Amino acid sequence: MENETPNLETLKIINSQAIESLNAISQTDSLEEWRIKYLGRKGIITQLLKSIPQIAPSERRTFGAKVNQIKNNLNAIFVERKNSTKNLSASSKTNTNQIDITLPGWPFPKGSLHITTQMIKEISDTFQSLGFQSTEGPEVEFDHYNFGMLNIPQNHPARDMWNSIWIEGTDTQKYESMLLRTHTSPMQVRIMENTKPPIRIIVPGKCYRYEATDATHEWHFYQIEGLAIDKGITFADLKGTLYEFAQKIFGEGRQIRFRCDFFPFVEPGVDMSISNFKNSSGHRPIKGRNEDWIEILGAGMVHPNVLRAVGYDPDIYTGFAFGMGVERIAMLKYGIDDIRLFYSNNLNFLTQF
Amino acid sequence: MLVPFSWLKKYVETNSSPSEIAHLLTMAGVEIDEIKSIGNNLDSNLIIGKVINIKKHPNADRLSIADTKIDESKELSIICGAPNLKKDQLVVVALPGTKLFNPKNNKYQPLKETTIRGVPSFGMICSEIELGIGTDHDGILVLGADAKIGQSAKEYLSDTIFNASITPNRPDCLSILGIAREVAALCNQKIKEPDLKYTEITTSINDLVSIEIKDPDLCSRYAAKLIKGVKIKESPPWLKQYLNKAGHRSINNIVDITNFVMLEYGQPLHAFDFDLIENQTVLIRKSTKGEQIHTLDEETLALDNSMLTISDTKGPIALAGIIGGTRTAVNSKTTSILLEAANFNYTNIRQTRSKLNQNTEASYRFERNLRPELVEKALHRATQLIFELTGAEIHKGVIDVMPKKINKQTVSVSTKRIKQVLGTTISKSSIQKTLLSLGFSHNYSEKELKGATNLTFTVPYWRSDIKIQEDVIEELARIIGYDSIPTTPLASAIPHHSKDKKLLLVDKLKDVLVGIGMNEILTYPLVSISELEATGSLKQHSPLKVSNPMNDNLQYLRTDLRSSILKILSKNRRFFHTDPMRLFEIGRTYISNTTPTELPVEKVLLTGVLSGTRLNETWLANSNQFDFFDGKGLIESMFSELKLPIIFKKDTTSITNPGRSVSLMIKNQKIGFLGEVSSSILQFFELPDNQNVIFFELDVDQISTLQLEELNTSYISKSRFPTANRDLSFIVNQNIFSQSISEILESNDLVISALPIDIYKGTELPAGKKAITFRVRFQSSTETLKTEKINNIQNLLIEKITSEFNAELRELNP
Repeated sequence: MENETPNLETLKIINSQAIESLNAISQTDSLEEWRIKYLGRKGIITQLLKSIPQIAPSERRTFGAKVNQIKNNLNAIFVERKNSTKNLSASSKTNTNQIDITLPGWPFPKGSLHITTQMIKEISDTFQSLGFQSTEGPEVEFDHYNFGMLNIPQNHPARDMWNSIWIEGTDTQKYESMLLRTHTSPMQVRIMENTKPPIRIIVPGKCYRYEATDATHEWHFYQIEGLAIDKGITFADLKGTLYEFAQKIFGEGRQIRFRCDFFPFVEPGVDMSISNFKNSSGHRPIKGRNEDWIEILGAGMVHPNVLRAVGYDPDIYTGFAFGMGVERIAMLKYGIDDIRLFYSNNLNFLTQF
Repeated sequence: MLVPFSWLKKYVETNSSPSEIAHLLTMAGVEIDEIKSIGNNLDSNLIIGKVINIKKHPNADRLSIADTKIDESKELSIICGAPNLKKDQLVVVALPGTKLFNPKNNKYQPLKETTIRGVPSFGMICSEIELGIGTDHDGILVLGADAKIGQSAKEYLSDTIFNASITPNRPDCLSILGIAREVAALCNQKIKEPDLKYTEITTSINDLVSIEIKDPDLCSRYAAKLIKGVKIKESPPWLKQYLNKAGHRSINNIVDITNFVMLEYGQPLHAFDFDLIENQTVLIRKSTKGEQIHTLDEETLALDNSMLTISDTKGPIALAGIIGGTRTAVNSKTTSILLEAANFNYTNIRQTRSKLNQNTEASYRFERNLRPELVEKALHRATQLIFELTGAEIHKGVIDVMPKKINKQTVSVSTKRIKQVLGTTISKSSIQKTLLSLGFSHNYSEKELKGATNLTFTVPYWRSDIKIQEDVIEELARIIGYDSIPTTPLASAIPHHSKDKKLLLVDKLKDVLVGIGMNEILTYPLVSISELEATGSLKQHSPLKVSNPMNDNLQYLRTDLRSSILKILSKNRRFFHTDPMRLFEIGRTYISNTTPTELPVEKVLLTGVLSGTRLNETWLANSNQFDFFDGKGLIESMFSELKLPIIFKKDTTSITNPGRSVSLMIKNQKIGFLGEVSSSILQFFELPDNQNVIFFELDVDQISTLQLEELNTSYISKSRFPTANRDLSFIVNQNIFSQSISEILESNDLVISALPIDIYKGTELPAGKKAITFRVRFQSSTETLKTEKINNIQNLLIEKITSEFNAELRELNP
């Protein structure tokens, strides 16, 4: 070959031999050998380029163009091949360093707020957006505030609505005995005694009743009391405010109704109920005797006797009050079917929320 | 209160279904908790028949053959063994093929035509039990006179029973008539009042009985009728059935009538055997101390001088408004009856019944404040029924003692006030129509009504709950319907509020702790005396005691949160074994006030425990347990978030191991403690003794006060020059606290921190010695520190420390 003058035919043969032998290469080292053989300084293609001057002038131009084309092509194929081999070896290296990505990650501790705290927060936030401010009050309360000032005198049959836990030895001269407050309503009185209208306030806190515990009753529970007093506050405002609250907490899919109910410290009195639903296990979270509606809060227009007792003029000021059981709302929101879960504080329960 | 729908319909006409009526009542304030259907399972082929002739069974002494008419032309011969079978009875007949209830397998099975001792029976006369509507199997079910021959028994017997829960303000609704009045108002119907007519004989009650109210404050009205020639027997079927459906047992005709009228009008009544009343004298008087009464419930009650009795000249014959006595009770031999209807002071009734623990149907109604006007209605109604059902003779007149005149109640309402309370207007014609439908009345002419802005109405005699204008407004709102009142957003100005700082702090603390990975618990604040004793709480405070505890474990108000959290930890251990427990509670404690007439101090504490393995044990995390320094780190992290400088001071407490607990100090005030719980406490709370429990308790009230003082936090400019680290190790006596060394290191202006990074105790060191390695970080606020300068400072510090602590610098491997 060296002695012969190459022609276009030999170019074709060299090209196909080069491609064939490159394709046949399986090892990285042999790639370099191939490069030296064909594209090296003394390689076949370089020789061909050097032989251009020897070609007959009539064919030289065509021949030269062809050799250059072959050189560029082989070069490109070689680079491509070399790169793919490189990737191949890189990926085979990764295989040996692979980790078991299914192993659990670092067990960062996960904290949680008690579901009651979360529910209080959610309800408080809702009322805060309506201009209500949170405050707290005493859990050990005078009979006077828990009942008397709320239009529930001694020996009133309405007292049966609140079975009380009494504090021993607290019959005092100034007031009647002390008890664990049976509702957050005494704070209505305390707030009004210390504030001039306008008032918009909510009071979350613990309440206690002398009561046997079962799936829907706890002797220890949380309430949120609400109070709004000003000139011109009406029953229509009560409905509007509580409707807004219920929609925010339960979403628009649940029905809400207001019916007449009795609490001695309001007139007219209201029970707000929400349509019942079934939880993931197909149970109604609270099995009311009435299956379709569950009462979630009691409310009403503050009774003139209560306003008068704190020194407000009921002809000038009107307002509404409401009280709700926090656990009950959580039960209806999350489908919890046993109130005893709340204060047994099992982490399996608490960490779900 | 059980309300049979069929009974209700005696007084008010309605085409609405029971569930529609229940809904209306519920929305208007008479909550129907439950709607129960009875007779739904009855076979529709059961038919009402009349027994027209009874013959003896030829082959069996105890059996009879009853010819029973089931329609105008058809009579059946039915064999029956019931002892109460009588001629002319209306009964339920099952024909062969009709399904009857079999109590043995609780199934309904078809009746077969049979021949009993040679005589064929063409059907069966049924008892309650075979019909599946009751448990009475003593005899056949006998129907009231309103049953019709040939009528479907299912149609006649089936009924709907409402269970109504009546709020304490509505004693009038503790009666069928009261609920019927609600239905009438809601459905725009008229009430059909019961019949009160009867005939009297000429001798007057006034000549035969003497009645005197000795305590007019406790009895505003006492009325009585005298009835003679009474025959005590079974009540007629219709009466028994109404009582039964309303949840009352039938006793005899007289007692049943008094109960029926109580359920009808809501006014309790009592019947005395007149012949057993000593000297025909009735005194309404307080008991004297030492007196006793033996009640109809066979209890002997000791009375005190606050209790009102009905007495004769010998002593108490009834506890007024609560329960009758046995001495004058109606019995099978009774022929004369003194029938009482009265009104007693509701407060006194409530006091007496709670003192004596006698909650009766009568006391339940009286203590809710009944109107005295009910007395005469109920008395006449019961007299009428006795007259009609027993054929007795009624003495002329009535004794009706009223110490004070009973005034009609009136109440005014203005359209302006209605608008002010409800936020909507109600037209005068609507006000008038609604109130009249509820039984209110007025004396206005059409013209007067138009001109008036303030309308005065007379309150219906049965309502004791309508006193003020707002009560009338509620009546209007509930009958028109709460749904018809508009829904508006609060439009008045939002009051100025300043945020409650303590609530904000509590929220912040909870957020920080949850961020660290702690789980919040909320616990009961009532604990037992032994828990308070075990946790050393009794030594600090004397706790408040509950006078009516539900059990021994819930007897005292907690003075700290120690036992609360340790109990919850222990309970969780049963489920989580050695898993990490990171619990906290922010809760109230109750410290009795130094002035005992004041409320106790409700102090907010924060308590927490860390126990078990530090992390959930996995292939990554090992099984190291929480120790003191986890607690310390938690406290440090928390107070760094609160921007309060916390100091740890060696201390001992009643619940922690000595040498492993500290006081937590801010500005020389002790605000709490941290430590490892001692094994005796672990044992008390049944916690495993091989698991550390790291415990902390903080006074949130105190932190809140300190935080308020400290609130002035502003930006601190930090140096922009590079820092340099040097590790210095000192060999010191083991009793030297690392902090005393780091304080010296940090006392230099150019040292920004000196943190212990290694503690070594071991064979390379002399006994009683340890090596503490500090990473000392140098930085200047004015220049980049040169090595030489750092070396100089370092040497100064080394010298100071080695001389002060008798320490030795330890060579560190490069």
